[in-house]
Amino acid sequence: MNYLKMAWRNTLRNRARSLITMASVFLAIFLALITRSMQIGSYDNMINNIVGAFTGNIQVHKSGYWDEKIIDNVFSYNDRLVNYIKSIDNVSAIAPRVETFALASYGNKTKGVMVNGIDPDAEDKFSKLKSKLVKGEYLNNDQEGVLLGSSLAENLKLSVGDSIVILGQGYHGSSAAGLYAVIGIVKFPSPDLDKRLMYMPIKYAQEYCSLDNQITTLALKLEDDKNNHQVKEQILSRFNNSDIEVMDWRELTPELAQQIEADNGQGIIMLAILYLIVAFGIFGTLIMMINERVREFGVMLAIGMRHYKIVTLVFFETLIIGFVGVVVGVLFSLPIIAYFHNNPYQYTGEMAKIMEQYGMEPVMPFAFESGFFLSQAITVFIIIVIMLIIPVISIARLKTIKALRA
Amino acid sequence: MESVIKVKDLYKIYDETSVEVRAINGVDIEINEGEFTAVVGPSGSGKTTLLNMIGGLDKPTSGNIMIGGQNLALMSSSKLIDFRMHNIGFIFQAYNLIPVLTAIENVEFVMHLQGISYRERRARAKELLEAVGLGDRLNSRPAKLSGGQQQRVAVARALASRPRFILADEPTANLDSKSTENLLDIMYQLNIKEKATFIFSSHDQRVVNKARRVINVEDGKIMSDITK
Repeated sequence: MNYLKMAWRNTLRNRARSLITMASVFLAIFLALITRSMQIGSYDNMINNIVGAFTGNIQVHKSGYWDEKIIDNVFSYNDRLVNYIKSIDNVSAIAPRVETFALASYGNKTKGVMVNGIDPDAEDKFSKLKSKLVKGEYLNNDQEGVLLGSSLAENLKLSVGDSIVILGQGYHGSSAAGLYAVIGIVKFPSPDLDKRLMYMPIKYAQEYCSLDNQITTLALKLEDDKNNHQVKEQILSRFNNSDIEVMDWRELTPELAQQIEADNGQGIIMLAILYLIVAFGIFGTLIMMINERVREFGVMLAIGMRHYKIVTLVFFETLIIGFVGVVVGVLFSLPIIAYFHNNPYQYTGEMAKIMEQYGMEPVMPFAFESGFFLSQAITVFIIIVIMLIIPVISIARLKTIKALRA
Repeated sequence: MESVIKVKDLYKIYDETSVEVRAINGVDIEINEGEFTAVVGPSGSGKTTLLNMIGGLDKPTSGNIMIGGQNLALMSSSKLIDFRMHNIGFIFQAYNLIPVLTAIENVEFVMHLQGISYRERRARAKELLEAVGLGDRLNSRPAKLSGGQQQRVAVARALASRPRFILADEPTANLDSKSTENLLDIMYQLNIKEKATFIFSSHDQRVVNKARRVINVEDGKIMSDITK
């Protein structure tokens, strides 16, 4: 008779109580997995939409550019830099950009715009810009023309085939001006971006700003954002730290990072409360389990079972309860999470509109991370160990004669 | 015959309240191998306290309890647990079998603690349960057995580890007369067959009649010690 078998039988001894405790563990694991998977899935969606659509996981600029976004803060875009950054394992795509502010005019209308000089192919790979085209053609490197956000085009009352005048400041105080044919209209989910973005091939943007082969921004997309600090360090260690600045999306879009952090904090607090309730449930079961078996433990001590072996037995009993609860919780939540991971929940109505306004796809995909299942199981295990402390002390203090008289 | 237990100048004084209670008040006894001894006396006479101290379940206030050259009064509680496992078998008034174990598993349990192999302990447990007339109830849990049957399992359990002696505290107190007779016969047979030393505490005249030595305890003192 091994202790595990004996523990299993003891678990079945008071089936109702064991089932209630298992059910509480199951419910906690189930709710924790579902809610956290929803939360993390939503964060991933937000990050993918906002970061993936434009910002990138990391951006490289000339030192000081982010604080003072002027066209003088440019750096040389050369093969040495590109080859090195492309050679970093985690980097999946790069997009060089010349970003500058200008006044755009058509007829008697004038609007402030953000001119983006891009490599059309690289940008499409990076942010799927081509897929946002709603009218006209996509850019190519050798065609002098621009793409406009649909709201911007509407505000300026122009369309494909018209020409737009832009006026701004070039490199080192030179004036920048140009007349460009509108070859396409793109639509961005974010109204803010849609009413101010203008794209043109990078070489024409450099020409417009009187730049040589220089850029303001090199955006990087990573396969795994969790290791972005390693990529940052690799870039900074290769290039002179004082010449360039390397920023991740948390620094580039601090509002988004703070929003996720605050929401995540709330999620963790909810989980903590959930687990606290489960912990007290387990503790109550343990105390009852021990109090009603003091005499039995006394007999075990009398016939030669050491205290630590009784503790082992009780530990196994608690572990079985926790294990069954965790396994059933995972088994029930797994298909739900897998389903919504592959078929994200689609928001409709006002919620969908709000999300679209913020530049996000109106969906809620569930995150599917094996590590999360494991971490919940470990959390329950840690709770069990903590809740066992007092029962273990009371078992260790049991006096045989007193226990026998209980 | 060799002495199994030597008790010398034993005292157990409870002074938890303002009134000092001398549960054992200067007891000297020797129990020899193979004895079938009854410790008798009225309630509160100190017989259970005496048995608890001989069994290493309780510590004396003063005095020595020598078993196999070792003084139980000087042992730590963890050493006492190991000592009991190897040297003493217990039969309790309320049977006290482990409820989740079957009859054979209950008998095997102490041998499992001793590290005896599965084959050896299973054979011994089966042999003992057959000896106490429960060969057909090996896989029954305590709840499925009558009081008399449970106590017979407890006897088999007490003998399983081949202890130096067996302590039985009021073993027949919860049994009807038929079960009592049956249990006493079984213990008597095992005393002869297994050469096991039995020490009982009891009120029961049938136990006293069966015993070959009767120690009468009153007010924590031995009033008479008669070998038949």
